[in-house]
Amino acid sequence: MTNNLKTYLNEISQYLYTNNSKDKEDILKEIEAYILEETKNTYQKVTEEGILRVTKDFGSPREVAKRYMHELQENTIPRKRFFMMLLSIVFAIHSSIYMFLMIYNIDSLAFDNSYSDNVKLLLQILSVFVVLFMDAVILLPITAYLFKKKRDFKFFKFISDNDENTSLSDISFFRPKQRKDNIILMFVSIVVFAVELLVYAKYKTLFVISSLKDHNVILADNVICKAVSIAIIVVTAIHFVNYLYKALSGKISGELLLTTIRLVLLWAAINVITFYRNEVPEFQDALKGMNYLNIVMVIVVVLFLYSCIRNCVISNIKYKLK
Amino acid sequence: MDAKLISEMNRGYLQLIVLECLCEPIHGYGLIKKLRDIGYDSVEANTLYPLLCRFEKNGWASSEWTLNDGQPQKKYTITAEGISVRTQLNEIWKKQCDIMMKVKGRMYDE
Repeated sequence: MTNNLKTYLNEISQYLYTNNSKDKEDILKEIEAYILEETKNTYQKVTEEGILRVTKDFGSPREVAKRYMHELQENTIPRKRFFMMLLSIVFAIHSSIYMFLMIYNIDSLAFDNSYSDNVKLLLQILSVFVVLFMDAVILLPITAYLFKKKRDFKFFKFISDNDENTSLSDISFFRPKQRKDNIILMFVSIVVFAVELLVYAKYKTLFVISSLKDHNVILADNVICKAVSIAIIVVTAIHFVNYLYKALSGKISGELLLTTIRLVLLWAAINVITFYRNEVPEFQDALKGMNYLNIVMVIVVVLFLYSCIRNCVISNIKYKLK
Repeated sequence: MDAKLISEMNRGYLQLIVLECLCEPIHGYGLIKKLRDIGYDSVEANTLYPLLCRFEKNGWASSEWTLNDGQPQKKYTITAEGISVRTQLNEIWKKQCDIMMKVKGRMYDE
């Protein structure tokens, strides 16, 4: 394949979203066959210049992708997938609000004081599933009503307007990272995994702070903290495998589940931090000089929220990275 | 001729012509050549290929990859469902032609 043709097909691939990755491979293969045949017939042989002219006549990559998606109605998302996507986005926003409240000590999920500290902490962590259940219960009738009117609900009509030309190629800002970025993320996850293992091996918990006053190391190491720490390590390992798989295959998959697990773990970690900050005197002393902690936690939650919404959208639109 | 006008007139009509041409296995490039040879030179490759893709998705055509001189070609053939759609489109087209003829006839009478 010539360089010009390769670049052209790669660009189409970037804009072309299909629900089935085999459809996309087929489309690209067919365009390639056409370009080669037309070039050969028009210019007698296949040259870079000939390819450039034929591809120019065929249309800009974005336009070509739009035409295919318009014909295939690929700007629609099946009912079940649309519901899962909507649920994940609402859940991400809902749990982020709770996390903001936790960070600023607004106890929105107060439990009876007769519970022991461990039980209280566990209940606060598990309440994330109550939030998920609530969102599902609220969204089910809403999506059922929307789909009752139209079998294939157009995603973009829901959030924007009745513009017929709107297609998934317009959400290129949601386009996931290039294949090579997954290699970088894979190495980052190895480093994080190694650090987590070292910290856990030494302190048996990942919730460790160093007191600014007397340079003592203070640990949050009850059973729940240990369990959350192990879960964080396991998820980091899964991240490594996921990035490795994506880097090798170029396929996007499993993002939705991983994103939800990540969000639940963040919920657990923030619960642990706020619980210890409020309930354990030695933590209160150690954290006195760390006024920036709230800002750091808010930034982390915002980043998780953005990545969660982005993953919710892209995991529902299957395509291959180049 | 105005390209926009041609495109508007071709919508729908192109579907029928393509379905008529799919009686025997034919690939996209061959189809473009065939249409241009019979005078339908306004047909564009970037319109025809997505259309064929939709036909396949709707079950109106089936496809098969073959090799010709070492070059892969995706050949399309009309299916039973496609034949049924073609029959309906033909009826619509004939009715439209009748209406047009009557309108034109009346205009000439006046």
